[in-house]
Amino acid sequence: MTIIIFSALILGLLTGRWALSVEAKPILDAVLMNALAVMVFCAGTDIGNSKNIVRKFLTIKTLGLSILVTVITNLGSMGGGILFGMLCGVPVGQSLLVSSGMGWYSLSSVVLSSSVGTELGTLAFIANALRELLTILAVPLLSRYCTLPLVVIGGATSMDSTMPVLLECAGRPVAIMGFVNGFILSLEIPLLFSLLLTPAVRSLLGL
Amino acid sequence: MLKLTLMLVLGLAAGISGRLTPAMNHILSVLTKICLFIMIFCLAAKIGCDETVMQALPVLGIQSFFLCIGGMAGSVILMAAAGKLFRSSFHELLRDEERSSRL
Repeated sequence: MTIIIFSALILGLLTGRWALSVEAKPILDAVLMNALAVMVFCAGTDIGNSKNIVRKFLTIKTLGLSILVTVITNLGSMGGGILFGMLCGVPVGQSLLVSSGMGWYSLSSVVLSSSVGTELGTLAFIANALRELLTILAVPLLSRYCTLPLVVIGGATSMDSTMPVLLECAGRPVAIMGFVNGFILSLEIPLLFSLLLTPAVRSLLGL
Repeated sequence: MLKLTLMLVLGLAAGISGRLTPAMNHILSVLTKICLFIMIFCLAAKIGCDETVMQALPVLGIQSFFLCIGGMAGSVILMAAAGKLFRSSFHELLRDEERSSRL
C-alpha cells in the first residue's frame, strides 16, 4: 500500500509540474470525485460485510461506550487540531476542517480540495496521511505505558491500515474497539463534512 | 457530498445483503487500490500544476505536522481521561472482548 501511495504521489507531482497547466484542474477534480465515489462504495461493502462485529457491538451498553469513544475521537481531534493549528498560524475554520478528516486522508483531501481549495486539500492530505504513519510508529512505543488511549490514536485508520499494529502491540480487545471506532467514524466523517461544508457553517467558519 | 453519502449507503446495502461472493469482494478490493492510486495521482497533479501551492509546500508541511500531532494528542488525552471516569465499564468491555475472542 505504501508503495502505491508514494508512487502515485511522485508520478502525480511530476506530471502536474511538467505536463499539466492550471486549466487541467476541473478535469482532475471530476476524476477525483468519481474515483472517491467508487472508493466510498467499496468501503461501504467492506463495512456491510463485517456483520459479526456489528452484531457483537449492538448491545445498548457496548454501543453506548463505542459512541462515547467516537465522540472522544471527534472532540479530541478537532480540539487538539484547532489548538495546535493556532500555534502555527492556521485559521480556526481551516484547522477544524483538516482535523475532521481524522486520518481519512483520501476523503478529506479530495473533498476539501474540490470544495475549498487545493492548498487546504494539500494540508488535509499531509496531516491525515501523517496521522496514519505516526500511529504506526507511536503505537509500539506507547503500548508500554497505556493501552486504552490507543483505541483513538489512529482515528478512522484503526479500522484498516493501523489495526494490525494495534492487534500486535495493544492486544485483540483494543484492536476490536479501534476497529469499531474506525467503523463508526467511516460512517460519520462523510456526514460531518456535508454538515461543515454547508453555506451557513462555512460562513461561520470564515471560509 | 450527497453523491458520496449515497454511494456509502449503496455499498452498505450491497455488503449487508450478503450477495457479494469472495471473487466480487476481491475485485472490489483491487478496485479500491486502483481508485486510491488514481485519486492520489490526481491530487498530486493538482498540487504540481499549481505554482502557488508548490511554493507554499514547506510551510504546509510544518502546519500539517502540528495539526496531526494536535489531533492525535487531543484524542489520546481525552480518551485517557474518559478511561479513568468510566474505568469499570471499559474494563468490563475489554475483558468481555478478550474472553469472547478466546472462545
